[in-house]
Amino acid sequence: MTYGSAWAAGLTAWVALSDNGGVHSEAAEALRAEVEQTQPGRVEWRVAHWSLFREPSPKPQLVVAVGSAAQRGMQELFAGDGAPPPLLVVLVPRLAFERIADPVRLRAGSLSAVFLDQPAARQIELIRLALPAVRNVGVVVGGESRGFVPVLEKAARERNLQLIVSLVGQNGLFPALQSLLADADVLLAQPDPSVFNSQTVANILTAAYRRQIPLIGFSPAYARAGALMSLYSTPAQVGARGGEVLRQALAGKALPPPQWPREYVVNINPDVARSLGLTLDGVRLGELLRQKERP
Amino acid sequence: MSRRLLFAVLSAPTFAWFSAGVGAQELSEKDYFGDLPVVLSVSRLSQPLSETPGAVTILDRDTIRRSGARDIFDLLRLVPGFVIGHVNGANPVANYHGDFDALNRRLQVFVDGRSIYSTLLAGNVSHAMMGLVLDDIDRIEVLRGSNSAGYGANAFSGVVNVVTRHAADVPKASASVALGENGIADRSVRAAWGDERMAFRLTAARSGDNGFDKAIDDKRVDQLHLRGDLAPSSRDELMFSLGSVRHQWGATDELRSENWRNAYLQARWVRHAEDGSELRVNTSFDEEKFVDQVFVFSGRRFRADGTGRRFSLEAEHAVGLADGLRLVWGGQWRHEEVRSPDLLYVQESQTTELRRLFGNIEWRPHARWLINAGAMWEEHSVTGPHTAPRLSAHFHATPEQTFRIGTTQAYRVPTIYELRGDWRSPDLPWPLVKATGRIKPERMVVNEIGYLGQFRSLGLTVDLRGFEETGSSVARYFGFKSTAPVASNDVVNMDAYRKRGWESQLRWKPRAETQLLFNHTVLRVLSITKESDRYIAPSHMSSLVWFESLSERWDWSLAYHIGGPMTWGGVKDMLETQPRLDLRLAHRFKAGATQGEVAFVTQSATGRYQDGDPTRYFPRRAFVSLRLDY
Repeated sequence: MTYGSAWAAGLTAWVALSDNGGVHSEAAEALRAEVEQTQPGRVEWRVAHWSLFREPSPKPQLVVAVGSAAQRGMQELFAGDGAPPPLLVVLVPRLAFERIADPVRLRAGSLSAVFLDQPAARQIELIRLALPAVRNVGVVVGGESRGFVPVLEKAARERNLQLIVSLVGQNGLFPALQSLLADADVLLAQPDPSVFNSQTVANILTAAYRRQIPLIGFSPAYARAGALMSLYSTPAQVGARGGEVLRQALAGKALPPPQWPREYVVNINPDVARSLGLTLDGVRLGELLRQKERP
Repeated sequence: MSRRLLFAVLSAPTFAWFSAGVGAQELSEKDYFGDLPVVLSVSRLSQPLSETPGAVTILDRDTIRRSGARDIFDLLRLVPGFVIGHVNGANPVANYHGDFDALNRRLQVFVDGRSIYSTLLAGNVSHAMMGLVLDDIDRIEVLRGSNSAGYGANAFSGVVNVVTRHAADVPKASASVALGENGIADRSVRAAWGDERMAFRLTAARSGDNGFDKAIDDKRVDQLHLRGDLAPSSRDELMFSLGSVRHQWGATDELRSENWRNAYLQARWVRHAEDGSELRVNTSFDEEKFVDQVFVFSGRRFRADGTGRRFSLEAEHAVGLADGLRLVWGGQWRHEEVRSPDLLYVQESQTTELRRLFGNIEWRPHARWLINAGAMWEEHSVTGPHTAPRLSAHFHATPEQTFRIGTTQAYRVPTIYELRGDWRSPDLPWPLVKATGRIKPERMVVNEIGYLGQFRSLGLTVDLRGFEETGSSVARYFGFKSTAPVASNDVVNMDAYRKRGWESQLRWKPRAETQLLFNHTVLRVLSITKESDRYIAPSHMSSLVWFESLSERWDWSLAYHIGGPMTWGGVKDMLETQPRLDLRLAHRFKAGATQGEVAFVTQSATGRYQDGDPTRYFPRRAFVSLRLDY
């Protein structure tokens, strides 16, 4: 799976995919299109599953890893290289990125990322805009997502909201959820496979809905399943942002620090909104949120 | 299957499932792109207030707690148009727009979809309504107005829909006690176990007081309820409940007590199909016994003991036919059986059967319009078939304001007692009641207009309802003559009336700490058969309720009710309705994992008021309550 360019100016970029097709290809395609739009044909793209890049030579000028598996694979491939090519990771959750990111390369500016998840301030601000009556924002976290708590707490405090945290402990999800639902006005889902997975979501949604507590999800599947709304970036939005970052690298600059996706979607479940007596417009909420984020 | 294996099968999915994988998996982008089943499909979502086909008042848990209510009758005072009275201190009655006597039979009351009423005694709902522990209730949805098309015959004046708490939603252990003046002693304990997949709760309660002044009308209610909630899959919900209630009361004028005992069993299965349709099957069995019940008329004693049983099986299917077009349809079969030599003058059990088919189309021709058209066809084994239709239209003028117009026809089918009653006393040579079975269902035609404004930015909800309720062929059997053998001791369709009026309900939350509720009803009874019917309901009623939070831990509430005079059906004595003021101060606390609340409540703080009979008074009552949740 190689894309060739009519004329190669000696610039080769590898795009290593964690998985063939699907969201990874979508992000890679958006990234490539973003670069091609301004600098058509300047880069010779090699897009493939990460495991197909077996030899670190001939060394490319740029490496893009799409997803966690690709990030790990590309870091390992160039581990022995004293001057590895800049590596841009896209479509990874921040936690997953930081867990395996090489701190030395990070400091040196040869490793960066465009995350998949949303900054805490954006999540909390959305709640403030969409549900102004809310005072208590509940999050149920596990071993993975407990790391989100300090930033969420800070973002909530800055907006006069209270963050109520329930940690899934030895007794499992249910007691944690129950104590949280007693006090929370809204539930903010945080990605963590030990808390939110395809088996638990049904029960979390029904338990919250019985108490008329809306859930805010982090992927379109949540809004479809019964969350009041979801805040997320599409693979294309993350990929396009990756393309912008890559353009800076092509201009000879060091990679900027890891960053959040700039574009995002607010997706409302209209049936759930109506049932909760709410009138919400996802597009408008997205616009308001963008206005708030503008410096 | 051996017992051990059965236990393993029952418990394994529960415990293994919820603890599965804690800390085992690492987060990756896959968590963002995984597919999820549609959980809250349209059928699982409750209708917003702006789209219910009729005026609805919802009493939620917070309201229930802060009202200081001891029973559901206290709570229904908060619903506009509801009139609450007492036969004596131990036997409250409640109906929408008045029109009741000692038998509270024109209101339809459901507990989790199970209709509760007396099979034996003319469909009286009052005893069964006492068989509820308020802390087990999640919310009470009160449909103000007739809705036989949606809920069947007996949804004559209104529908009280009690939704009890899911077994997984209550604390593991709770206990409460209330003690106070007038012999008030209410106690309850509850235990709950399980999780979202399979949960159970068990409640035992005993409540009681000494009733009114100068009457032997002590009340005691003992009850036990078990509810189980199971979710065998993400598409299925299974609920079962069983319980027992005993209501015991003093005989008012004599030193002895009478009893109503009830046992029930219910199972409900709901399947949410992938295509958004829903299938609901509900079955229940109820048995009641009246023990030592004696009515005294003109010094003569009439025993009224007996046993009533009923079995009901109902299925309902909700399906989206097209975009903006939804159909709910189903059927029900109900068997009733009564044995009461006292009331029916036969040893054998008497039975009736009821078959129903119902359907409702919800059509959204435009984003601003919602049309509901429905009907229920019922066939009663004695009175034959009848059809109750309903039509309503909603117009969402703005997202915050909805106008509603509707018309419906409702029926109340006669009970076995009304059809076959033969009530005698050894002191009287002729029967007091001798039903010939000629009675037809009572009929009511209701036209209404409504407005609902939900002004979120102001924290204000305005609910207005204008109504005209025309009752015809209303059954009449109280107020019969017990002095001579007359032809009118049959139960006959006689009365007719027309009630016209309007009512409002304002809910205002001017700030987070304050909640105000203001209800007002104006009602005229017109086109009456006899003069005393003019006052079957008060001409006006108002309530003001104020909930105020002083801090996280302290709150108080106040409820003030006032209304015009009324008579009880068939009773000529005019009752001057006097104002009633209820006050409550509560303090919440936390001790470790235990949450508690102490409250001081005074009911009728301004003093006693006349209730039920000109010689009886609801006394001022103060009590202290304590509840603990672990």
